[in-house]
Amino acid sequence: MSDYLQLLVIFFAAINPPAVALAARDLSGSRSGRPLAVAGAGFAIAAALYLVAASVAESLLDFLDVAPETFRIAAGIVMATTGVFALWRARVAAAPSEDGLQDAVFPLAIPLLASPAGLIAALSYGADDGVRMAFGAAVVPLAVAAALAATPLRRGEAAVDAAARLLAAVLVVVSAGLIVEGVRDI
Amino acid sequence: MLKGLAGTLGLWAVGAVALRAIVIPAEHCPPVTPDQARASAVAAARWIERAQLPDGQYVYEYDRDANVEPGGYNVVRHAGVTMSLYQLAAEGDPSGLETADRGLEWMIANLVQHDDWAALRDPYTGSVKLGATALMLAGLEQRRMATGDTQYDELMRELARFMLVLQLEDGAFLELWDPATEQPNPNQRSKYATGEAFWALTLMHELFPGEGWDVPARKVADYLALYRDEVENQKFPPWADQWAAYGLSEMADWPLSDDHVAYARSLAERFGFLIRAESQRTGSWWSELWHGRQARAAGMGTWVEGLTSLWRIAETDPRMADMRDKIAERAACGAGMLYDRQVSPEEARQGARPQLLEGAWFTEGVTRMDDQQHALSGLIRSVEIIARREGE
Repeated sequence: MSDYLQLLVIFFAAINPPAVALAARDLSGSRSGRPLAVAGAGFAIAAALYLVAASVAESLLDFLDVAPETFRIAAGIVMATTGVFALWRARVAAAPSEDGLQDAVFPLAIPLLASPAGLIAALSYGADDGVRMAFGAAVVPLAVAAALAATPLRRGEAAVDAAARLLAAVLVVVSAGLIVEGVRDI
Repeated sequence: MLKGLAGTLGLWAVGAVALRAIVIPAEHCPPVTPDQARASAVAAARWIERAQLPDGQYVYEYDRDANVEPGGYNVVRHAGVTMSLYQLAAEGDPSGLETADRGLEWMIANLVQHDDWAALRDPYTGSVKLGATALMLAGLEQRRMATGDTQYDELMRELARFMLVLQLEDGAFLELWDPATEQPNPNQRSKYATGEAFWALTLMHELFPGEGWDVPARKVADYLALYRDEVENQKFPPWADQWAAYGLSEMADWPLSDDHVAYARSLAERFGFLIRAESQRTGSWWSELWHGRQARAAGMGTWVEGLTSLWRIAETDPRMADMRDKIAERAACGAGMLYDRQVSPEEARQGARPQLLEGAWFTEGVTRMDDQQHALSGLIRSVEIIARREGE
Protein backbone atom coordinates (compact mmCIF):
# COMPACT_ATOMS: atom_id res chain seq x y z
CA MET A 1 0.00 0.00 0.00
CA SER A 2 1.36 3.42 -0.90
CA ASP A 3 2.08 5.91 1.87
CA TYR A 4 -0.84 8.06 0.79
CA LEU A 5 -3.32 5.18 0.78
CA GLN A 6 -2.10 4.15 4.20
CA LEU A 7 -2.66 7.68 5.50
CA LEU A 8 -6.08 7.74 3.87
CA VAL A 9 -7.11 4.60 5.78
CA ILE A 10 -5.78 6.07 9.00
CA PHE A 11 -7.71 9.32 8.58
CA PHE A 12 -10.86 7.46 7.58
CA ALA A 13 -10.58 5.57 10.84
CA ALA A 14 -9.74 8.67 12.87
CA ILE A 15 -12.55 10.83 11.42
CA ASN A 16 -14.97 7.92 11.10
CA PRO A 17 -17.58 9.28 8.61
CA PRO A 18 -20.27 6.70 9.51
CA ALA A 19 -20.05 7.71 13.19
CA VAL A 20 -20.36 11.37 12.13
CA ALA A 21 -23.43 10.47 10.04
CA LEU A 22 -25.06 8.75 13.02
CA ALA A 23 -24.39 11.69 15.32
CA ALA A 24 -25.52 14.21 12.69
CA ARG A 25 -28.89 12.45 12.47
CA ASP A 26 -29.73 13.89 15.88
CA LEU A 27 -29.01 17.36 14.54
CA SER A 28 -30.98 17.24 11.34
CA GLY A 29 -34.27 18.24 12.99
CA SER A 30 -32.87 21.55 14.15
CA ARG A 31 -31.28 22.67 10.94
CA SER A 32 -34.27 24.57 9.59
CA GLY A 33 -33.99 22.76 6.32
CA ARG A 34 -30.41 23.87 5.61
CA PRO A 35 -28.43 20.65 6.01
CA LEU A 36 -26.14 21.42 3.09
CA ALA A 37 -25.18 24.81 4.45
CA VAL A 38 -24.53 23.38 7.91
CA ALA A 39 -22.45 20.52 6.53
CA GLY A 40 -20.56 22.85 4.20
CA ALA A 41 -19.72 25.30 6.95
CA GLY A 42 -18.78 22.46 9.30
CA PHE A 43 -16.50 20.98 6.64
CA ALA A 44 -14.82 24.35 5.98
CA ILE A 45 -14.14 24.97 9.69
CA ALA A 46 -12.87 21.45 10.29
CA ALA A 47 -10.72 21.47 7.16
CA ALA A 48 -9.15 24.74 8.30
CA LEU A 49 -8.37 23.17 11.68
CA TYR A 50 -6.77 20.13 10.05
CA LEU A 51 -4.74 22.38 7.77
CA VAL A 52 -3.51 24.42 10.72
CA ALA A 53 -2.69 21.27 12.71
CA ALA A 54 -0.69 19.72 9.87
CA SER A 55 1.06 23.03 9.09
CA VAL A 56 2.19 23.84 12.62
CA ALA A 57 3.04 20.24 13.55
CA GLU A 58 6.78 20.52 13.13
CA SER A 59 7.11 23.90 14.85
CA LEU A 60 4.80 22.81 17.64
CA LEU A 61 6.85 19.67 18.36
CA ASP A 62 10.02 21.77 18.25
CA PHE A 63 8.47 24.22 20.69
CA LEU A 64 7.44 21.36 22.98
CA ASP A 65 10.89 19.72 22.67
CA VAL A 66 9.35 16.43 21.64
CA ALA A 67 10.70 14.21 18.88
CA PRO A 68 8.13 13.17 16.24
CA GLU A 69 8.87 9.56 17.17
CA THR A 70 7.90 10.20 20.79
CA PHE A 71 4.83 12.17 19.76
CA ARG A 72 3.61 9.11 17.87
CA ILE A 73 3.20 7.35 21.20
CA ALA A 74 0.99 10.17 22.49
CA ALA A 75 -0.98 10.27 19.25
CA GLY A 76 -1.44 6.50 19.43
CA ILE A 77 -2.78 6.72 22.97
CA VAL A 78 -5.32 9.42 22.09
CA MET A 79 -6.40 7.61 18.93
CA ALA A 80 -6.69 4.28 20.71
CA THR A 81 -8.80 5.83 23.47
CA THR A 82 -11.11 7.40 20.88
CA GLY A 83 -11.25 4.13 18.97
CA VAL A 84 -12.19 2.09 22.02
CA PHE A 85 -14.88 4.62 22.93
CA ALA A 86 -16.30 4.59 19.40
CA LEU A 87 -16.19 0.81 19.34
CA TRP A 88 -18.23 0.70 22.50
CA ARG A 89 -20.65 3.42 21.43
CA ALA A 90 -20.59 4.23 17.72
CA ARG A 91 -22.91 7.20 18.04
CA VAL A 92 -21.37 10.23 19.73
CA ALA A 93 -23.81 12.31 21.78
CA ALA A 94 -24.51 15.54 19.90
CA ALA A 95 -26.69 18.22 21.43
CA PRO A 96 -28.38 20.37 18.78
CA SER A 97 -28.47 24.14 19.13
CA GLU A 98 -31.47 26.43 18.72
CA ASP A 99 -30.08 27.96 15.54
CA GLY A 100 -29.32 25.23 13.03
CA LEU A 101 -26.31 27.03 11.53
CA GLN A 102 -24.55 27.12 14.87
CA ASP A 103 -24.49 23.32 14.65
CA ALA A 104 -21.89 23.77 11.97
CA VAL A 105 -19.41 24.96 14.59
CA PHE A 106 -20.54 22.80 17.45
CA PRO A 107 -20.94 19.89 17.40
CA LEU A 108 -20.38 19.23 13.69
CA ALA A 109 -16.99 20.89 13.12
CA ILE A 110 -15.87 20.42 16.72
CA PRO A 111 -15.80 17.68 17.93
CA LEU A 112 -17.42 15.46 15.27
CA LEU A 113 -15.34 16.29 12.20
CA ALA A 114 -12.32 17.79 13.95
CA SER A 115 -12.05 15.15 16.65
CA PRO A 116 -9.16 14.68 19.07
CA ALA A 117 -8.15 11.54 17.17
CA GLY A 118 -8.24 13.27 13.81
CA LEU A 119 -6.42 16.39 14.92
CA ILE A 120 -3.66 14.56 16.77
CA ALA A 121 -3.25 12.32 13.72
CA ALA A 122 -2.88 15.47 11.61
CA LEU A 123 -0.20 16.72 14.01
CA SER A 124 1.69 13.43 14.07
CA TYR A 125 1.55 12.73 10.34
CA GLY A 126 2.03 16.39 9.52
CA ALA A 127 5.35 16.24 11.37
CA ASP A 128 6.30 12.88 9.81
CA ASP A 129 5.04 13.15 6.25
CA GLY A 130 4.55 16.85 5.62
CA VAL A 131 1.53 19.12 5.36
CA ARG A 132 0.52 18.13 1.85
CA MET A 133 0.39 14.40 2.55
CA ALA A 134 -1.33 14.70 5.91
CA PHE A 135 -3.90 17.29 4.87
CA GLY A 136 -4.42 15.61 1.52
CA ALA A 137 -5.29 12.38 3.30
CA ALA A 138 -7.48 14.06 5.94
CA VAL A 139 -9.57 16.12 3.58
CA VAL A 140 -11.08 13.12 1.73
CA PRO A 141 -12.74 11.41 4.73
CA LEU A 142 -13.60 14.86 6.00
CA ALA A 143 -15.55 15.56 2.81
CA VAL A 144 -17.20 12.14 2.95
CA ALA A 145 -18.21 12.73 6.57
CA ALA A 146 -19.62 16.17 5.78
CA ALA A 147 -21.54 14.76 2.83
CA LEU A 148 -23.01 12.02 5.00
CA ALA A 149 -23.91 14.59 7.63
CA ALA A 150 -25.80 16.58 5.00
CA THR A 151 -27.81 13.53 4.01
CA PRO A 152 -30.52 12.67 6.52
CA LEU A 153 -30.22 9.04 7.47
CA ARG A 154 -33.60 7.46 6.78
CA ARG A 155 -32.74 3.78 6.72
CA GLY A 156 -29.81 1.42 6.98
CA GLU A 157 -28.88 2.70 10.42
CA ALA A 158 -27.71 -0.74 11.49
CA ALA A 159 -25.31 -0.95 8.55
CA VAL A 160 -23.93 2.52 9.23
CA ASP A 161 -23.54 1.62 12.90
CA ALA A 162 -21.63 -1.52 11.93
CA ALA A 163 -19.40 0.46 9.58
CA ALA A 164 -18.71 2.99 12.34
CA ARG A 165 -17.69 0.25 14.74
CA LEU A 166 -15.57 -1.42 12.09
CA LEU A 167 -13.68 1.83 11.49
CA ALA A 168 -13.32 2.24 15.26
CA ALA A 169 -11.71 -1.19 15.38
CA VAL A 170 -9.39 -0.18 12.55
CA LEU A 171 -8.49 2.93 14.55
CA VAL A 172 -7.55 0.82 17.57
CA VAL A 173 -5.31 -1.38 15.41
CA VAL A 174 -3.72 1.62 13.67
CA SER A 175 -3.11 3.30 17.04
CA ALA A 176 -1.43 0.22 18.42
CA GLY A 177 0.82 0.23 15.38
CA LEU A 178 1.57 3.90 15.89
CA ILE A 179 2.55 3.34 19.53
CA VAL A 180 4.79 0.43 18.56
CA GLU A 181 6.35 2.59 15.85
CA GLY A 182 6.95 5.36 18.37
CA VAL A 183 8.70 2.93 20.69
CA ARG A 184 10.67 1.15 17.99
CA ASP A 185 11.79 4.05 15.85
CA ILE A 186 15.08 5.69 16.48
CA MET B 1 -23.57 26.38 21.33
CA LEU B 2 -20.90 28.43 23.07
CA LYS B 3 -21.35 26.51 26.30
CA GLY B 4 -20.96 23.18 24.54
CA LEU B 5 -17.98 24.38 22.54
CA ALA B 6 -16.29 25.82 25.61
CA GLY B 7 -16.91 22.61 27.52
CA THR B 8 -15.44 20.52 24.70
CA LEU B 9 -12.37 22.73 24.30
CA GLY B 10 -11.91 22.78 28.07
CA LEU B 11 -11.96 18.99 28.15
CA TRP B 12 -9.42 18.86 25.31
CA ALA B 13 -7.18 21.29 27.16
CA VAL B 14 -7.24 19.10 30.29
CA GLY B 15 -6.41 16.08 28.14
CA ALA B 16 -3.56 17.92 26.41
CA VAL B 17 -2.07 19.00 29.74
CA ALA B 18 -2.28 15.46 31.09
CA LEU B 19 -0.68 14.11 27.93
CA ARG B 20 2.13 16.64 28.21
CA ALA B 21 2.71 15.97 31.90
CA ILE B 22 2.63 12.20 31.67
CA VAL B 23 3.40 10.91 28.18
CA ILE B 24 5.34 13.61 26.36
CA PRO B 25 7.32 15.80 28.74
CA ALA B 26 10.06 17.83 27.05
CA GLU B 27 13.07 15.88 25.82
CA HIS B 28 16.03 17.69 27.28
CA CYS B 29 19.25 17.35 25.27
CA PRO B 30 21.85 19.69 26.79
CA PRO B 31 24.14 21.24 24.18
CA VAL B 32 27.70 19.96 24.05
CA THR B 33 30.60 20.97 21.82
CA PRO B 34 33.28 18.57 20.57
CA ASP B 35 35.79 20.16 22.97
CA GLN B 36 33.44 19.79 25.90
CA ALA B 37 32.74 16.15 25.05
CA ARG B 38 36.48 15.45 24.82
CA ALA B 39 37.20 17.32 28.07
CA SER B 40 34.43 15.37 29.78
CA ALA B 41 35.93 12.05 28.59
CA VAL B 42 39.37 13.12 29.77
CA ALA B 43 37.94 14.14 33.17
CA ALA B 44 36.50 10.62 33.46
CA ALA B 45 39.93 9.20 32.60
CA ARG B 46 41.47 11.36 35.34
CA TRP B 47 38.95 9.92 37.81
CA ILE B 48 40.04 6.39 36.84
CA GLU B 49 43.67 7.44 37.27
CA ARG B 50 43.07 8.86 40.75
CA ALA B 51 40.99 5.82 41.68
CA GLN B 52 43.76 3.39 40.77
CA LEU B 53 45.29 1.44 43.64
CA PRO B 54 49.02 0.66 43.82
CA ASP B 55 48.49 -2.92 42.54
CA GLY B 56 46.72 -1.71 39.39
CA GLN B 57 43.14 -2.30 40.52
CA TYR B 58 40.68 0.58 40.78
CA VAL B 59 38.28 1.83 43.45
CA TYR B 60 35.25 -0.26 42.57
CA GLU B 61 32.51 1.89 44.11
CA TYR B 62 32.33 5.12 46.06
CA ASP B 63 29.34 6.29 48.10
CA ARG B 64 29.61 10.05 48.39
CA ASP B 65 26.81 10.41 50.93
CA ALA B 66 28.40 8.02 53.40
CA ASN B 67 31.93 8.81 52.16
CA VAL B 68 32.79 5.11 52.00
CA GLU B 69 34.02 2.64 49.44
CA PRO B 70 31.59 -0.26 49.79
CA GLY B 71 34.18 -2.67 48.38
CA GLY B 72 33.77 -5.69 46.12
CA TYR B 73 35.42 -6.13 42.77
CA ASN B 74 34.58 -7.33 39.30
CA VAL B 75 37.30 -8.53 36.98
CA VAL B 76 35.19 -8.02 33.83
CA ARG B 77 34.70 -4.39 34.77
CA HIS B 78 38.41 -4.06 35.55
CA ALA B 79 39.16 -5.16 32.00
CA GLY B 80 36.50 -2.81 30.66
CA VAL B 81 37.78 0.22 32.54
CA THR B 82 41.32 -0.47 31.35
CA MET B 83 40.06 -0.92 27.81
CA SER B 84 38.32 2.47 27.89
CA LEU B 85 41.63 4.18 28.69
CA TYR B 86 43.25 2.48 25.71
CA GLN B 87 40.25 3.53 23.64
CA LEU B 88 40.90 7.13 24.66
CA ALA B 89 44.50 6.69 23.49
CA ALA B 90 43.32 5.20 20.19
CA GLU B 91 41.16 8.29 19.74
CA GLY B 92 44.25 10.47 20.05
CA ASP B 93 44.70 11.17 23.77
CA PRO B 94 47.51 9.05 25.28
CA SER B 95 47.25 10.63 28.75
CA GLY B 96 45.70 7.51 30.29
CA LEU B 97 48.23 5.01 28.94
CA GLU B 98 50.32 4.67 32.10
CA THR B 99 47.25 4.03 34.21
CA ALA B 100 45.97 1.55 31.65
CA ASP B 101 49.31 -0.26 31.56
CA ARG B 102 49.22 -0.66 35.35
CA GLY B 103 45.71 -2.09 34.97
CA LEU B 104 47.06 -4.40 32.27
CA GLU B 105 49.91 -5.60 34.49
CA TRP B 106 47.33 -6.65 37.09
CA MET B 107 45.49 -8.65 34.44
CA ILE B 108 48.69 -10.27 33.15
CA ALA B 109 49.50 -11.31 36.72
CA ASN B 110 46.15 -13.09 36.87
CA LEU B 111 46.29 -15.05 33.64
CA VAL B 112 45.65 -18.74 33.46
CA GLN B 113 47.51 -20.65 30.73
CA HIS B 114 46.22 -23.90 29.24
CA ASP B 115 47.13 -25.70 26.04
CA ASP B 116 47.78 -22.95 23.50
CA TRP B 117 45.56 -20.32 25.08
CA ALA B 118 45.49 -17.84 27.93
CA ALA B 119 42.57 -16.35 29.84
CA LEU B 120 41.99 -13.83 32.58
CA ARG B 121 41.13 -15.48 35.89
CA ASP B 122 39.23 -13.75 38.67
CA PRO B 123 41.65 -13.89 41.63
CA TYR B 124 38.79 -13.56 44.13
CA THR B 125 36.53 -16.35 42.88
CA GLY B 126 38.84 -18.39 40.69
CA SER B 127 36.33 -18.19 37.83
CA VAL B 128 37.53 -17.88 34.24
CA LYS B 129 34.97 -15.80 32.39
CA LEU B 130 34.76 -15.13 28.69
CA GLY B 131 33.81 -11.46 29.23
CA ALA B 132 36.92 -10.65 31.24
CA THR B 133 39.20 -12.18 28.62
CA ALA B 134 37.30 -10.58 25.73
CA LEU B 135 37.56 -7.10 27.22
CA MET B 136 41.21 -7.63 28.12
CA LEU B 137 41.81 -8.58 24.50
CA ALA B 138 39.79 -5.58 23.27
CA GLY B 139 41.93 -3.38 25.51
CA LEU B 140 45.15 -4.83 24.08
CA GLU B 141 43.79 -4.31 20.58
CA GLN B 142 43.02 -0.67 21.33
CA ARG B 143 46.49 -0.33 22.86
CA ARG B 144 48.08 -1.71 19.73
CA MET B 145 46.08 0.63 17.51
CA ALA B 146 47.05 3.55 19.73
CA THR B 147 50.76 2.80 20.12
CA GLY B 148 51.74 0.37 17.35
CA ASP B 149 53.54 -1.62 20.07
CA THR B 150 53.69 -5.30 19.07
CA GLN B 151 54.97 -6.78 22.35
CA TYR B 152 51.55 -8.26 23.26
CA ASP B 153 50.67 -9.69 19.83
CA GLU B 154 51.25 -13.29 20.87
CA LEU B 155 49.30 -12.79 24.10
CA MET B 156 46.45 -11.38 22.03
CA ARG B 157 46.40 -14.52 19.90
CA GLU B 158 46.40 -16.70 23.03
CA LEU B 159 43.46 -14.78 24.48
CA ALA B 160 41.57 -15.03 21.19
CA ARG B 161 42.20 -18.79 21.05
CA PHE B 162 40.66 -19.12 24.52
CA MET B 163 37.52 -17.45 23.24
CA LEU B 164 37.30 -19.95 20.41
CA VAL B 165 37.44 -22.79 22.97
CA LEU B 166 34.14 -21.42 24.31
CA GLN B 167 32.48 -20.88 20.93
CA LEU B 168 29.59 -23.19 20.03
CA GLU B 169 28.55 -24.54 16.65
CA ASP B 170 25.81 -21.90 16.29
CA GLY B 171 28.33 -19.10 16.78
CA ALA B 172 27.33 -18.32 20.37
CA PHE B 173 29.75 -18.46 23.27
CA LEU B 174 29.66 -20.19 26.61
CA GLU B 175 30.46 -17.88 29.47
CA LEU B 176 32.73 -19.93 31.73
CA TRP B 177 35.68 -22.26 31.60
CA ASP B 178 35.74 -24.52 34.62
CA PRO B 179 39.28 -24.89 36.06
CA ALA B 180 38.17 -27.98 38.04
CA THR B 181 37.08 -30.01 35.02
CA GLU B 182 39.32 -28.11 32.61
CA GLN B 183 36.32 -27.86 30.31
CA PRO B 184 33.88 -25.10 29.33
CA ASN B 185 30.76 -25.01 31.49
CA PRO B 186 28.11 -26.15 28.97
CA ASN B 187 25.16 -24.63 30.80
CA GLN B 188 25.89 -20.96 30.91
CA ARG B 189 25.73 -18.23 28.29
CA SER B 190 26.01 -14.51 28.96
CA LYS B 191 24.05 -11.76 27.30
CA TYR B 192 27.06 -9.47 27.62
CA ALA B 193 30.03 -11.69 26.89
CA THR B 194 29.01 -12.92 23.45
CA GLY B 195 29.01 -9.37 22.11
CA GLU B 196 32.30 -8.60 23.87
CA ALA B 197 33.95 -11.63 22.30
CA PHE B 198 32.46 -10.75 18.93
CA TRP B 199 33.97 -7.27 18.99
CA ALA B 200 37.35 -8.59 20.11
CA LEU B 201 37.36 -11.11 17.24
CA THR B 202 36.50 -8.48 14.63
CA LEU B 203 39.40 -6.36 15.89
CA MET B 204 41.70 -9.40 15.68
CA HIS B 205 40.82 -9.66 12.00
CA GLU B 206 41.44 -5.94 11.53
CA LEU B 207 44.87 -6.20 13.16
CA PHE B 208 45.89 -9.59 11.82
CA PRO B 209 44.14 -10.06 8.48
CA GLY B 210 44.80 -13.40 6.87
CA GLU B 211 44.93 -15.32 10.16
CA GLY B 212 41.30 -16.40 9.84
CA TRP B 213 39.73 -14.50 12.76
CA ASP B 214 36.97 -13.29 10.45
CA VAL B 215 35.49 -16.80 10.20
CA PRO B 216 34.44 -17.13 13.87
CA ALA B 217 33.57 -13.42 13.90
CA ARG B 218 31.09 -13.84 11.03
CA LYS B 219 29.65 -16.89 12.75
CA VAL B 220 28.92 -14.97 15.92
CA ALA B 221 27.58 -12.02 13.91
CA ASP B 222 25.05 -14.38 12.33
CA TYR B 223 24.12 -15.74 15.75
CA LEU B 224 23.62 -12.25 17.18
CA ALA B 225 21.63 -11.05 14.19
CA LEU B 226 19.42 -14.07 13.70
CA TYR B 227 19.14 -16.29 16.73
CA ARG B 228 20.41 -14.76 19.98
CA ASP B 229 17.26 -13.01 21.14
CA GLU B 230 15.21 -16.16 20.69
CA VAL B 231 17.74 -18.64 22.04
CA GLU B 232 18.48 -16.49 25.08
CA ASN B 233 14.82 -15.60 25.66
CA GLN B 234 15.10 -11.84 25.35
CA LYS B 235 11.70 -10.52 26.40
CA PHE B 236 12.00 -7.22 24.51
CA PRO B 237 14.33 -7.89 21.59
CA PRO B 238 16.74 -6.77 20.45
CA TRP B 239 18.93 -6.81 23.52
CA ALA B 240 20.56 -3.36 23.58
CA ASP B 241 24.04 -4.73 22.98
CA GLN B 242 26.61 -2.01 22.36
CA TRP B 243 29.35 -4.64 22.06
CA ALA B 244 27.53 -6.13 19.08
CA ALA B 245 27.32 -2.63 17.60
CA TYR B 246 31.08 -2.21 18.06
CA GLY B 247 31.69 -5.48 16.26
CA LEU B 248 29.31 -4.70 13.41
CA SER B 249 30.97 -1.32 12.88
CA GLU B 250 34.35 -3.07 12.51
CA MET B 251 32.74 -5.34 9.90
CA ALA B 252 31.19 -2.44 7.96
CA ASP B 253 33.66 -2.77 5.09
CA TRP B 254 33.95 -6.58 5.10
CA PRO B 255 30.96 -6.01 4.16
CA LEU B 256 27.91 -6.77 6.33
CA SER B 257 25.20 -9.16 5.15
CA ASP B 258 21.58 -7.99 4.83
CA ASP B 259 20.77 -9.78 8.09
CA HIS B 260 23.55 -7.95 9.88
CA VAL B 261 22.29 -4.63 8.56
CA ALA B 262 18.73 -5.44 9.64
CA TYR B 263 20.07 -6.22 13.09
CA ALA B 264 22.15 -3.03 13.15
CA ARG B 265 19.05 -1.04 12.24
CA SER B 266 17.07 -2.63 15.04
CA LEU B 267 19.87 -1.81 17.48
CA ALA B 268 19.88 1.83 16.33
CA GLU B 269 16.14 1.99 16.92
CA ARG B 270 16.50 0.53 20.40
CA PHE B 271 19.36 2.81 21.45
CA GLY B 272 17.52 5.80 19.97
CA PHE B 273 14.40 5.03 21.97
CA LEU B 274 16.43 4.60 25.16
CA ILE B 275 18.05 8.00 24.64
CA ARG B 276 14.68 9.64 23.91
CA ALA B 277 13.16 8.12 27.04
CA GLU B 278 16.14 9.16 29.15
CA SER B 279 16.00 12.73 27.84
CA GLN B 280 12.47 12.99 29.29
CA ARG B 281 13.65 12.12 32.80
CA THR B 282 14.37 15.06 35.04
CA GLY B 283 15.00 13.35 38.35
CA SER B 284 11.97 15.02 39.97
CA TRP B 285 9.50 12.88 41.94
CA TRP B 286 6.89 13.44 39.22
CA SER B 287 9.27 12.35 36.50
CA GLU B 288 10.35 9.32 38.52
CA LEU B 289 6.70 8.40 39.10
CA TRP B 290 5.89 8.21 35.39
CA HIS B 291 9.22 7.68 33.66
CA GLY B 292 11.40 6.01 36.27
CA ARG B 293 14.78 6.91 37.72
CA GLN B 294 17.48 8.54 35.63
CA ALA B 295 19.78 5.92 34.13
CA ARG B 296 23.25 5.50 35.55
CA ALA B 297 26.15 6.59 33.39
CA ALA B 298 27.16 2.95 32.90
CA GLY B 299 23.82 2.45 31.13
CA MET B 300 23.58 5.71 29.23
CA GLY B 301 27.22 5.47 28.19
CA THR B 302 26.57 2.10 26.54
CA TRP B 303 23.72 3.60 24.49
CA VAL B 304 26.00 6.36 23.25
CA GLU B 305 28.73 3.79 22.52
CA GLY B 306 26.22 1.76 20.54
CA LEU B 307 24.97 4.75 18.57
CA THR B 308 28.47 5.98 17.77
CA SER B 309 29.33 2.55 16.36
CA LEU B 310 26.13 2.39 14.33
CA TRP B 311 26.76 5.90 13.02
CA ARG B 312 30.04 4.63 11.60
CA ILE B 313 28.13 1.92 9.74
CA ALA B 314 25.60 4.49 8.48
CA GLU B 315 28.52 6.56 7.21
CA THR B 316 29.80 3.76 5.01
CA ASP B 317 26.89 1.43 4.25
CA PRO B 318 24.12 2.82 2.02
CA ARG B 319 21.66 0.38 3.56
CA MET B 320 21.84 2.41 6.76
CA ALA B 321 22.46 5.84 5.30
CA ASP B 322 18.85 6.97 5.90
CA MET B 323 19.40 6.59 9.65
CA ARG B 324 22.64 8.54 9.81
CA ASP B 325 21.28 11.92 10.88
CA LYS B 326 18.90 10.53 13.45
CA ILE B 327 21.63 8.33 14.93
CA ALA B 328 23.89 11.38 15.13
CA GLU B 329 21.13 13.41 16.78
CA ARG B 330 20.54 10.77 19.46
CA ALA B 331 24.26 10.20 20.05
CA ALA B 332 24.80 13.94 20.51
CA CYS B 333 21.83 14.07 22.86
CA GLY B 334 23.28 11.24 24.96
CA ALA B 335 26.70 12.88 25.02
CA GLY B 336 25.06 16.16 26.09
CA MET B 337 23.27 14.46 28.96
CA LEU B 338 26.49 12.76 30.08
CA TYR B 339 28.39 16.05 29.94
CA ASP B 340 25.63 17.80 31.85
CA ARG B 341 25.43 15.22 34.64
CA GLN B 342 29.16 14.80 35.29
CA VAL B 343 30.52 16.14 38.61
CA SER B 344 32.38 19.36 37.87
CA PRO B 345 35.57 20.47 39.70
CA GLU B 346 33.53 23.14 41.56
CA GLU B 347 30.98 20.60 42.77
CA ALA B 348 33.75 18.18 43.71
CA ARG B 349 35.51 20.73 45.91
CA GLN B 350 32.47 20.83 48.15
CA GLY B 351 32.59 17.08 48.86
CA ALA B 352 34.56 15.07 51.39
CA ARG B 353 36.84 13.42 48.80
CA PRO B 354 37.04 15.63 45.73
CA GLN B 355 39.41 13.19 44.02
CA LEU B 356 36.64 10.55 43.91
CA LEU B 357 33.98 13.05 42.94
CA GLU B 358 35.41 15.11 40.11
CA GLY B 359 34.77 13.69 36.66
CA ALA B 360 32.44 10.98 37.95
CA TRP B 361 28.74 10.23 37.56
CA PHE B 362 26.64 9.34 40.59
CA THR B 363 23.33 7.52 40.84
CA GLU B 364 21.61 7.72 44.22
CA GLY B 365 24.90 8.90 45.70
CA VAL B 366 27.02 6.05 44.35
CA THR B 367 29.47 5.82 41.47
CA ARG B 368 30.95 2.57 40.18
CA MET B 369 34.08 2.40 38.09
CA ASP B 370 32.23 1.30 34.97
CA ASP B 371 30.11 4.47 35.12
CA GLN B 372 33.28 6.30 34.16
CA GLN B 373 34.29 3.59 31.66
CA HIS B 374 31.15 3.65 29.55
CA ALA B 375 30.66 7.41 29.76
CA LEU B 376 34.29 7.92 28.72
CA SER B 377 33.94 5.58 25.75
CA GLY B 378 30.66 7.09 24.63
CA LEU B 379 31.87 10.67 24.97
CA ILE B 380 35.18 10.23 23.20
CA ARG B 381 33.55 8.39 20.30
CA SER B 382 30.85 11.06 19.98
CA VAL B 383 33.37 13.90 19.47
CA GLU B 384 33.54 13.33 15.72
CA ILE B 385 29.77 13.11 15.39
CA ILE B 386 29.19 16.34 17.31
CA ALA B 387 31.86 18.09 15.23
CA ARG B 388 30.25 16.89 12.01
CA ARG B 389 26.83 18.06 13.16
CA GLU B 390 28.27 21.47 14.00
CA GLY B 391 29.82 21.67 10.54
CA GLU B 392 26.63 20.78 8.69
